[in-house]
Amino acid sequence: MKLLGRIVIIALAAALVIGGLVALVPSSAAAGFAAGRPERQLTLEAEQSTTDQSTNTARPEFAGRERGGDHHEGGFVHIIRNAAIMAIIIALVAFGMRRLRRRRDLVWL
Amino acid sequence: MQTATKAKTGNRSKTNYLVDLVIGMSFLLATAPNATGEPIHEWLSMGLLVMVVVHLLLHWQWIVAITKKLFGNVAWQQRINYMLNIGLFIDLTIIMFTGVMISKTVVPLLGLELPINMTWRSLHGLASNVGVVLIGLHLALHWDWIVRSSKRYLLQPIAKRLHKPATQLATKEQSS
Repeated sequence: MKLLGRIVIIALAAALVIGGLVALVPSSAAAGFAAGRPERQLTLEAEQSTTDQSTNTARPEFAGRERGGDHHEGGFVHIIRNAAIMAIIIALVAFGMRRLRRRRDLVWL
Repeated sequence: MQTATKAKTGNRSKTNYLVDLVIGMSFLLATAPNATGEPIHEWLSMGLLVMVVVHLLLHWQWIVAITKKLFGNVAWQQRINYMLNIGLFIDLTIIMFTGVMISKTVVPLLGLELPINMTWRSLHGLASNVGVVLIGLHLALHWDWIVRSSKRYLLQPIAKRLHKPATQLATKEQSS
């Protein structure tokens, strides 16, 4: 019962965030944007030229992005990139804090 | 009695470490949907959602304690940690929700069809990039515990296992 209560609290907190998000994202603008962008094509048709996608005339701002996918949809390189970002943050924050604590510059740490 | 409490704390700490290790690895894998493929990405994320809830339940006492005295007498490090965790919770909720909204495997499997909305896709990417930074900060604030636990629950058992055959061999030689 206690566990269920805790899960309900977590779900309510998540629902609060989702509610806020849905309220903040204007649905009409989202629909307009969605209508403007063509569905992402992952494979080329046999008769389709390879330059078709990189010279997208419908929405030039997306030209060349369809084939490679969006920047956040990488392959294994993305795992390495994200791990590297985390490692840099850890190095800066954790070791920086340890140094500061040793030097007693920051009493509250 | 004291030994029993110590063992309980040790087990709890080990469970925490294992859960966190699985969450960390899953998150890194989930950030590369092109490498794993959409179905694995989506099902892995669903598993991640469950693990995050387990993580929160395991740290429930800490959450309640800090919430009660957030504006009272509490160390600044704890306060920063708490604020960061709230940010991380919001960010992970956004990632999960937008992920469900653009789902191509899990949601259609349930017989639901959601309208295509590119805003959710953009938000999903943005929130996951922010998530990388926030999780990095979360790990940094707990780095000492991570190093200690990795030594105790990962490195020491491996080292013990590697040294065991050599020790057994030496004992056998001595007895013969």
